[in-house]
Amino acid sequence: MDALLHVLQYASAIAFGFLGVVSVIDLVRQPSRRRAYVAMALGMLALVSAIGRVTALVGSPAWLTDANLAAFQLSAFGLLLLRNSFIKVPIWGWLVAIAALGGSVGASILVGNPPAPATPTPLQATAVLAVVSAWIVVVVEPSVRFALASRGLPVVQRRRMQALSFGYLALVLVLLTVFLPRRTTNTPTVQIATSLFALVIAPALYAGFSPPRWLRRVWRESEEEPYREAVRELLLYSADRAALAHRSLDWALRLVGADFGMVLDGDGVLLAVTGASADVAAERAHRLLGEGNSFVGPDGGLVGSAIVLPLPLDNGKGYLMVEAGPFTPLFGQEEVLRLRQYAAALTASLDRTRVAERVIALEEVKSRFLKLASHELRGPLALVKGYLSMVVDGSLSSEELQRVMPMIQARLEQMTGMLNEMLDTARLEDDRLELKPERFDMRHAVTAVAEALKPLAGPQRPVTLSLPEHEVPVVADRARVETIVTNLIDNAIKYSPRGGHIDCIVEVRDGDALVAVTDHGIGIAREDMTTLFTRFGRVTSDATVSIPGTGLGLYLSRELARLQQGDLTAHSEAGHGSTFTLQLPLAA
Amino acid sequence: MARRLRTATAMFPGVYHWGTLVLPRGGISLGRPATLGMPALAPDDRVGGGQAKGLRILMVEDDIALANMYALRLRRDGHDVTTVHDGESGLEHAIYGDYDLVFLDINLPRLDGISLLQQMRATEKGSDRPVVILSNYSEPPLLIRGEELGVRRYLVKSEVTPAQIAASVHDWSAS
Repeated sequence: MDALLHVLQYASAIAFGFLGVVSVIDLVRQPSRRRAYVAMALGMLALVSAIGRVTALVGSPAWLTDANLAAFQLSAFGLLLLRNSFIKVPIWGWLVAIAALGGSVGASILVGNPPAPATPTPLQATAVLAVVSAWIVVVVEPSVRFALASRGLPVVQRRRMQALSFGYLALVLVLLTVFLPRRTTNTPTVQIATSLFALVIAPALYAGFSPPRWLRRVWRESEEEPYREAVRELLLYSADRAALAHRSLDWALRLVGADFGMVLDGDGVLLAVTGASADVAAERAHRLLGEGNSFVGPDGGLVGSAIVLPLPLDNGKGYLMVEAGPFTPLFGQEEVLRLRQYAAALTASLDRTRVAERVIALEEVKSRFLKLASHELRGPLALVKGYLSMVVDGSLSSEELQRVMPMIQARLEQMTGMLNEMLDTARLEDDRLELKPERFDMRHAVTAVAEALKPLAGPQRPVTLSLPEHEVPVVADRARVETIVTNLIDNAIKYSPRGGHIDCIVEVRDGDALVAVTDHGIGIAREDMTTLFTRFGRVTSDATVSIPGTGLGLYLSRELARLQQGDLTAHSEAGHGSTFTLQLPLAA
Repeated sequence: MARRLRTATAMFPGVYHWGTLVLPRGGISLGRPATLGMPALAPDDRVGGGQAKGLRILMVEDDIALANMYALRLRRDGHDVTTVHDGESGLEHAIYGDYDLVFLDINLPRLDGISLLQQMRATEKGSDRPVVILSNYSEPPLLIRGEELGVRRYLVKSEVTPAQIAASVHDWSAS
């Protein structure tokens, strides 16, 4: 019976010694404040356990017993320091803890410790009880706190904190036996039971601060199903990018039991951060994206205590990064592999939201356009309808009718033009726009258009044609080319509200036929140049609000030019007018 | 108290339908009972010019051709019509001029119709001047805004004829 008890006591001492050594090794490999506290708490326990064995063998000199008590109290202090690094300990808490721990040790040293076999005096016994009580009080509080704080954490962290709490509370239970009457605790059965119980404490504490890989896998199994569900949702659900990144980051942390994580978009924007301040994340992002970034390979992987995985997004290379905290496991290749699969899913869904966002934006543009176009059509409609009703009810004399007729016709032409633009744009999008190329002289086409538009231009906006003497042959769809030139000259007229001459120059340069239309109107602001040729990209300002148009003209014109191996370019200065140049290849 | 109302455009059956609209108070049928577009109440063209006295009417409309058309019809009835083509001069006329009725477009260069109306209502002379909005836009928020600013009627250009407008100017200008 005694032999068994001895074996158990040595086994538990060895287990604690191992625990202490491992925690110190862990600290040396990954130095950090919290690891230092863990090493202090567990190392001191190991020391106490070792001293206990030594004194059992060689007897205990008084100083060794004193040192033992001090180490014991320091282990409790280490745990309190660790607790403080998670949840701040108030100042009175520190005072109480230091007074209790230090006071009890001091008192114990003062009254002196009895040599091992001797029965302690009542005063000495009281001092020992005070030491144990102080230890228990200081240790129970953080243990309970950790158990409470573990709720809601990812499963790996939760189990680790629970294991740590369990280990310490079990230790407290063992220590509580000193309060029991000696005749109860001195029976071999109780001693063996206590030793056996003490033996499970070391593995529990070990699991708490450095769980082996197999254990982490076992812990994670409970989250497998919700994880799969989350990935499925991630792939199907169309959240916006930031929300998507946030939700997926949460799961990435759970997946590997990390403390801190972030998702970096392809354009360098921080999409999501969890477990650290934005400043910390920004610093990490800076290092990742910085110039001399050589610590992450093209495929990413383990980088120190972090896993960094590149996300090949369609707007550039983003990153998923998770970092182990002082209280989370060091990652292994298994974690890297799991996270890699997850990163692939994340990349796909982030790209998908980009497509969805683009579609939504286009839908908005289209509906805005529809609104604009229908309002644009209401104007001429009101005019035609109004005059027609006046003709019908006889309130318009025939001279007046003669006078307004050309204008009504012009408005109907305008409506027809708008409708044709809309139709052509729709055809362009469906690839149903059929071109009928023929060989013609560009000079003739431009002259015809300029003649047709002269009435619209009026005397304040003379259109000056400047044509070369020789033929400018092109092979293109003549009607479409005339549409383009009509658009350019019409725009020049519309955007010259105060008049001013309009120059239309046809010339040959570098094997191309060029048609340049220059006005001296309101011009185009630099910031509006980008939307000029976009579909529905009508530049509206206070000055242009009453100028009719759908915003399709320039988009359509450029597409028509490009369909025929040509191009349409613009040059403008706000307030000084614009030049639009159509370029088409010369016919052989 | 919210009242369920039909918007002005829905008054012309079959032409345009925005459905019903819940307005916070009052309605879009402003000031006077609706007479527009109802054949029984539309007076014969020659009656208007006869006995009724001519009104001073301001027409703020950037489409010059349209402004001329309405002016032509209203002048036939003996009204004195002034047309202006942008928001700023519209505001100037509306505040300092002496008009019995203002026709106001929404989409105007320099100053839009709603802002014009807002600024005009803030002045002493413009605070209760009868205004009829005549616009291509008829979105519910605009209707509500117009109603809040005390317009007599909100009309959509392509849905009323000059004769219908001419038939109702006396109703709208009456205080």
